[in-house]
Amino acid sequence: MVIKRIALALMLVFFLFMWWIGEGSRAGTDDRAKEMVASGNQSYHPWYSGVWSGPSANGEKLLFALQGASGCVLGAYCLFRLSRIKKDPQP
Amino acid sequence: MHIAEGYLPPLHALGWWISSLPFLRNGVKKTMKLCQEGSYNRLQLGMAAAFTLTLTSLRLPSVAGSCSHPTGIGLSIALLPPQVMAAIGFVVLLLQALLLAHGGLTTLGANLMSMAIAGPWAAFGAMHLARRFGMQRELALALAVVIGNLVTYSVTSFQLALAFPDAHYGIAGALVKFLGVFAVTQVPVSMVEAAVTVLILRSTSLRQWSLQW
Repeated sequence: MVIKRIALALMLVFFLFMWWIGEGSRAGTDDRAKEMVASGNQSYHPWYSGVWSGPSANGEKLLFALQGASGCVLGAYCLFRLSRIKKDPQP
Repeated sequence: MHIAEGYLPPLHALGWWISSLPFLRNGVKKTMKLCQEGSYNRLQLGMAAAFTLTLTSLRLPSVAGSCSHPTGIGLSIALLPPQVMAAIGFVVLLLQALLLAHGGLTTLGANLMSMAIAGPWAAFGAMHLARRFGMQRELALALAVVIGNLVTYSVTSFQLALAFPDAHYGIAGALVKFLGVFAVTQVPVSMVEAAVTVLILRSTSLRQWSLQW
């Protein structure tokens, strides 16, 4: 049990580290796709740009972090409830 | 990876929307049926949705100086029928399109087809095939997650290649060009996702996950 908890903790640290590197200057594949389309098809312009252009760079990071955090909270809640059901098979 | 808003011509966007709608309808029906069947299914559904929500929010570094998002399909294909991922993927993609301007409403059909339909079904097929050939359960799931990720990005590449064929080599040339960037980037990311999926299943009370779907 202890080894499993350590493995999960290490995984969390690894993910935070990877996320930190990924949020650096590396180009995302989404942006690279846009660049490739633009470079190969200079006459093409996006015909619709959405109702809003999205948050600023920091705002985007914050919203992604919020998305990740809400996923973690939902996952933890479901896991807790699942463990309760397992202990008490007649909920 | 998401195709950005307006980056598919209107007819293509409409075509991908129409082709993904039956899968979405089926996915919603299956999800509702699962929810009615009991709290255990509802909680597993919540776990799978949480996993997708968390993993798609991460941008992981990869080779060639680029980074990419995992698809988050691992827990869904291990715990739930593959149709359900269409419903989960729709909610996640819609949230990202509306709140983050990441992806888009016009390209939602195409993104849904790649991430929430083609990827999960390919992963599901791969997992069952691997199990039929006697592969160990965790290994089969890891392989399925990698294949699901690669199929997702291959379908995205195909969608872009179909919309923007190469001037000299046509759709095939453009497909090779897009795959050269996206598939290569996604290989290490998919391996990380596979490892995380197996670790979570082994470390939690979800260990009793089955392949009975």
